[in-house]
Amino acid sequence: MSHTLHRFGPEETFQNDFPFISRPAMKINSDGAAPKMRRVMEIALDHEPVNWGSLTTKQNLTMGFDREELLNKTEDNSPAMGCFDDRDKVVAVLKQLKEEDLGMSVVITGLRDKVEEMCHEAGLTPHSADLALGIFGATELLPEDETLCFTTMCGHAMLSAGLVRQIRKAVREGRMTPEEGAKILAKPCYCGIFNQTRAAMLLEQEKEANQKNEE
Amino acid sequence: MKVNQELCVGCGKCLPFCPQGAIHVENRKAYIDQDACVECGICVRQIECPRKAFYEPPEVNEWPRSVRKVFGDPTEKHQSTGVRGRGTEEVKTNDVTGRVKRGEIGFALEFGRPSIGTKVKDVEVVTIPLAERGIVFEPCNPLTSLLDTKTGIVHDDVREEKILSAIVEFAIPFERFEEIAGVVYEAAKHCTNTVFSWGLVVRYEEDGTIAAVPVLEKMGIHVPKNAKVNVGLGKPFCNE
Ligand code: SF4
Ligand code: SF4
Repeated sequence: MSHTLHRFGPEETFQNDFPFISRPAMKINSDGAAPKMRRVMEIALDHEPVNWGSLTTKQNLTMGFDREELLNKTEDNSPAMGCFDDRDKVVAVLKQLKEEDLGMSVVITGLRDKVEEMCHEAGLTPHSADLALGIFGATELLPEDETLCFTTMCGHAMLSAGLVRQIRKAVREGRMTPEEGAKILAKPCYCGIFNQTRAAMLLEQEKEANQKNEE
Repeated sequence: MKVNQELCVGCGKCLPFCPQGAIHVENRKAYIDQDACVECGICVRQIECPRKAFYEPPEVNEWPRSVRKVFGDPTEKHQSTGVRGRGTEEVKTNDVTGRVKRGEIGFALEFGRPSIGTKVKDVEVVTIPLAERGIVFEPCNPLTSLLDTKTGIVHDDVREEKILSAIVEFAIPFERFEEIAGVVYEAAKHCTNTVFSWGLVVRYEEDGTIAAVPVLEKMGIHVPKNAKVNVGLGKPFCNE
């Protein structure tokens, strides 16, 4: 599914937001893919993603996991999923994956021109893309934009608007730091595509704007 | 899901966590609105209920309620629709599968997303007009098994089931893009019960451009910059 797509928010908030997914194609190159997928995960984890996750172990980097345990549970059809907050790290991962020629598909989500530029830097030619055209229909039913910026970082919609509002309020009122808030919000996203760095930045911005309004 | 009333102490700690806002407290007991619940499992897995009062009753896995879990809980693999999960591999492995080739374009209309959820029948706002135009829905997508693919009408037994989201997925020749994008754009005006997030799966041209972008701009549809890019590392590589 299109789960890393459809992240909502102002363009400038995606400068350091790069969800990463790799997987074999079922029935084409999935037989015996486990060691290759394991290697993809090792390479990605070596480059310090901001988050990483697994639906098999129901854990993500924010909750903490045992790297070896996660790698040992890799099966032929296991996807590798996480998020980077630094374009240079993604380029380094792509370069290494190209060099090792593992043959597993990889998708990077982000601002299209930026991702294309990163591909070229790694010596890759983008093959295809899934474009997000936006939200249609009864948009008046949606939570407010400030909340959507967070809830849409979990593509499976496991993060509730209610929890986001609670954390936003706690940070605005100084009862919690943006980083602490981001960590709580990252928890429901087992795939590990929730970007805590972006979340902390959004919480910080809201807190600062709130302080200015009060002055 | 359900709350064991004997265990619940009505503390309300669980209230903010449900993505559908389906939990409420009345007379110091928590209740789950069974119509609103999409069986995503967050309450059972993640809510730190001091009494561990949430549980999955057997009817969650019985047809037709079981479709809620298929489309709502990403941690489970289900067989009730005959297909696993909520969607397909779409662009993720397109460099190997060649699902969408040059000269074609893929549509992924995810109903209920973001956050709102949808009744299965609400997809008819697009599936009926698309079926009238002969669109063939992606057979590997679990939603397709819930439709009469000739008419786009949702089967009676699952019409009223509320699910977290479901993707109307299909590919067409590029020549039909303007016509079919127009149908979807028009249908969106009649989508009054929920929302859908619209994704387009496209193949890069030899020169690195995307043919759909100028067509969308001509139609007045703004193309945001967010995209999911298949970087072309898959093997065997499909260069079509
Ligand atoms: S957290 Fe548990 S005990 Fe508290 S209201 Fe919710 S279900 Fe009841
Ligand atoms: S299963 Fe999901 S939708 Fe249903 S009550 Fe629990 S958290 Fe809410």
